Amino acid sequence: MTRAQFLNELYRRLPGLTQEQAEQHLTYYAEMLADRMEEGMSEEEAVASMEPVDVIAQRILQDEGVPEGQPPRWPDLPETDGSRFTKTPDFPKRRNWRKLAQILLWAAAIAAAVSAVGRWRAQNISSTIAESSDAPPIEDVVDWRTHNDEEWAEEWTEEWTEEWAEEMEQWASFDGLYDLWGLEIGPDGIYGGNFSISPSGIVLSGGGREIFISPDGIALNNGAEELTDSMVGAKFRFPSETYRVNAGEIDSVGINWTGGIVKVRSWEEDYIQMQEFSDKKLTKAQELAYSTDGGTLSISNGGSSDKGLIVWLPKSTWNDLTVNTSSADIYWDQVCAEYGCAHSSSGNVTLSNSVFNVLETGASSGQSTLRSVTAVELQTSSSSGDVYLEGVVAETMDVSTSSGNISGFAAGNSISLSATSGETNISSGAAGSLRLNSSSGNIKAALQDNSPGSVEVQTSSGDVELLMPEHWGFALEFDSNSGYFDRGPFSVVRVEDAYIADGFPAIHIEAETSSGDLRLAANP
Amino acid sequence: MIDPQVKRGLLDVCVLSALRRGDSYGYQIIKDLSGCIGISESTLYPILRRLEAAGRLTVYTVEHNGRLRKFYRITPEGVQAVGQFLESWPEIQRVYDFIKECAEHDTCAVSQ
Repeated sequence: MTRAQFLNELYRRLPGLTQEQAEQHLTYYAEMLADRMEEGMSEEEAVASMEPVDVIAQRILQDEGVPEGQPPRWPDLPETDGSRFTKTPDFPKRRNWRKLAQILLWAAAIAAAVSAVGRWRAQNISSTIAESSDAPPIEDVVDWRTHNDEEWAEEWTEEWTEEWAEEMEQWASFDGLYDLWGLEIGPDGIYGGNFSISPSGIVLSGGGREIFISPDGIALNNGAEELTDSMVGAKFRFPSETYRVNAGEIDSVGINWTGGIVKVRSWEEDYIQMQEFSDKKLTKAQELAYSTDGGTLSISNGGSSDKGLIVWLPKSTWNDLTVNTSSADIYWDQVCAEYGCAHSSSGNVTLSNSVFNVLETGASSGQSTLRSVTAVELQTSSSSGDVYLEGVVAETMDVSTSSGNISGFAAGNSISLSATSGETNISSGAAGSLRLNSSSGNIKAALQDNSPGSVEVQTSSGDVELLMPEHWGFALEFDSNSGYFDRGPFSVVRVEDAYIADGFPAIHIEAETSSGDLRLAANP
Repeated sequence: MIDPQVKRGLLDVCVLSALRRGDSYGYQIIKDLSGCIGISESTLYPILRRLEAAGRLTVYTVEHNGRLRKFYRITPEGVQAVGQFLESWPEIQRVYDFIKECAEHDTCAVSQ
């Protein structure tokens, strides 16, 4: 007997149970069989090692208090291969061409979307979505709320909130689900290969990035921009119920998530709220799972791997805030924790407006963006992902990447930046020490505001460019096999192995390269 | 072979005790108990549900190799239940001794 036959037989012998009850039991036995097969049993051996179906069924019915011989409480015995108890069932698709005319309403919706996007492009705030696979500079990503054309922004808001929402409301009353020209069209919106239009907003995908158009505005999601709550809703069309947890005894939150988006943000309420968003209606088993143990709230993605999750936390200093994902992008906004850890294997990690005692972030191949983040100890690592630092302040900061690039502005007492083959382009307000390390990548560091006591630079073949105010003085030791030293606008005298420049404040610079050049330049 | 009625009472404690070693899932619990007391799948599931309803364990789901696996975790109430069982052992021992004495001498202290 195969696993599917076993489960079907069992299912057939459980009349009198509700379908939900029956499926709970079948899920348990499906898991038992899967565990056996995972340990090396064949399908037939796994089934043979179970008790006879009759015995199991009798036990279940006894346990549920259902007398044998009851007629089924569900209408028809479903056709199943057994996999429905361990895999995500497909969302049922109904094709009812009689209601095709209703789709015309969606045509109006599409027209409105296209018109909106057209105006957006006309305002020159979108030019790179499909033209280049390189991420645009952060400053090129424009949110309409900061756009200087207030009239246009006002018009957009009015149009969205009134006309567009009205259209969506009408559409949501339809009950069909259609396939048309490769599009999936239903009451929840239109979903195509690289775009979706839903009551929550519009998502256009291309060039490895996404444009979100929602009542909150327009943003290009390249992993560096703020992701509003409604953008999560725009990407995943089915919102779940909201789960609420009393925050009274909770001081730590741990999230394990696979794919999609995980957003953690603070709010004014005094309880924790969770809501997930998915591409399909979720069964109970596919919903997120959470539990509390001691003071820790643990959240995982349950049986569906590609979903959006928003967690709203009361404004408080959390003891431990940890999020681990496989491919899901991580967004934190306005959180405060003694210890924070955000790590994604292939997703992006974006933290903004947050404060920590100790913060560790990692994005193996994704992009790490820290914006207005303060920490006593900060450690950020990546393998091939880029690291953007914008207004990051830390007592000690350790940023490392292998082939990714490091850029932005960082300040602190002790800053260490290491990019093996990636480029480092940083403005630094290091007050104590600044260490820059590279193998083949070039380094460009602009020193400003606070003068670091010392700067250490190590590179093999990468070139180094140090910019600093022209009135600063320094004692520089340059050790290189074949690298060239360019003093730039600074007047230096050679004293033994050091280059000395008069000025105030005076800093100590040690640079060691193999073939890389060192060039000094004035910081404007 | 243990009388089913006696075994039923023991199994709850056995399952909780297996979970004191750490969170576990159905098949692993069966394997952990196999050296001590036999338990089938159809026996385990009602026990797990009963213990969960009594607040002696909690359940959470973890994705494992592309499928779902339910894990069970003992609660402080479950730990307390195991403790109560251990504390009642002298009483159980007295009952055992009484039964044994009756069986060996075909009489016992109570009947005299």
